[in-house]
Amino acid sequence: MSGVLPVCLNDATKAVEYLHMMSKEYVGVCEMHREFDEKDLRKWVEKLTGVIYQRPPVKSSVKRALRRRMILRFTIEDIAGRRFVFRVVTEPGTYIRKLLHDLGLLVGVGAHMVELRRTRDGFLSEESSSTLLELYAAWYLYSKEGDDRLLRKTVKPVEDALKGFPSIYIKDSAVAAVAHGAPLAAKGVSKIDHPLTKGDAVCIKTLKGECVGFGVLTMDSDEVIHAKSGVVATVERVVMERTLYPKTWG
Amino acid sequence: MRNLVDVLRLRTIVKEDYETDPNYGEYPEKRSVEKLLKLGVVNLDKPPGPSSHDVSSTVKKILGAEKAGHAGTLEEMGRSRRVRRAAGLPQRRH
Repeated sequence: MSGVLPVCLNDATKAVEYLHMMSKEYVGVCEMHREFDEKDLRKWVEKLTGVIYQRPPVKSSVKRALRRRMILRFTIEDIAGRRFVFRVVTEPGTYIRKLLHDLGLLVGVGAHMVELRRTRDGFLSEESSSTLLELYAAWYLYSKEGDDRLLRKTVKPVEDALKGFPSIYIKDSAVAAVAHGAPLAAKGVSKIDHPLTKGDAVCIKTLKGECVGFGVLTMDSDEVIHAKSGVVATVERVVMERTLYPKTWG
Repeated sequence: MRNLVDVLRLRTIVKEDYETDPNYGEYPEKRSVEKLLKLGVVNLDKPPGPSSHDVSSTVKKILGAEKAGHAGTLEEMGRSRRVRRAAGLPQRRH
């Protein structure tokens, strides 16, 4: 399988588990095992859009418990003989190979996936992706010739991958405390995305847009707006260096 | 916690206006290359063949990073040598 694979570097690896929380888009080729009725195929593809139940395949690295997964979009792009090209947008943790296998069973002729390419992972899409060769060239130009233009197109701030992640923007005076892992207090908040609910994961950002870390809201976003004191979010993961902003205590 | 966050329709609302001090921190797009490498992400177009883990370790080597981690594994079918041989696929080299 090929396609979009976000690779986080050094401190950005701390954001990996949160990048998993975004939808993924794939394009692939599937082969039906016998002649099939096109109308029937289209009907089942439509029925497999929405919430589906899926048991992870035997060869997988997770517990084989039945999962509920959201298929946001599932379409047939082209059909040629027994093969067809599909496009699917799913929630993370969906086995595409299994989805196509199950589709084959539903149509009644059996099917297997022949090829798969990820065209988007969250906010990163294939149009802005780089191959290993391009990365190597970018590094060569930077390290041997001091030209950083290609490298800057290839290595992006981790915040680029987090665009659109539910966020809470905090004042400079609150940054150091959060960067040390302290829970976020109401008076440290400047802006918040709305509507969010208690228990939602949020990216805690500075007003310059830097990712400080990730936390969990302890109240709904409309309550955060009106809160005068107390904790509005716990901090689960710190990404930013601790010493970038001044300490406002002690 | 929600499993899927990029499909939410959100707008940013202001609780309290606040001016950030340019003397501390830095806008992400203004980061130097050294800092980008410390806090950056590569949107890699993974080639078919090697595992996601192999590919992210190649990225780490090219950029001389200490750590690299990938989000969302893109795995190959027939990962083992035995399965690949039976399926007539080329053997993976390490």
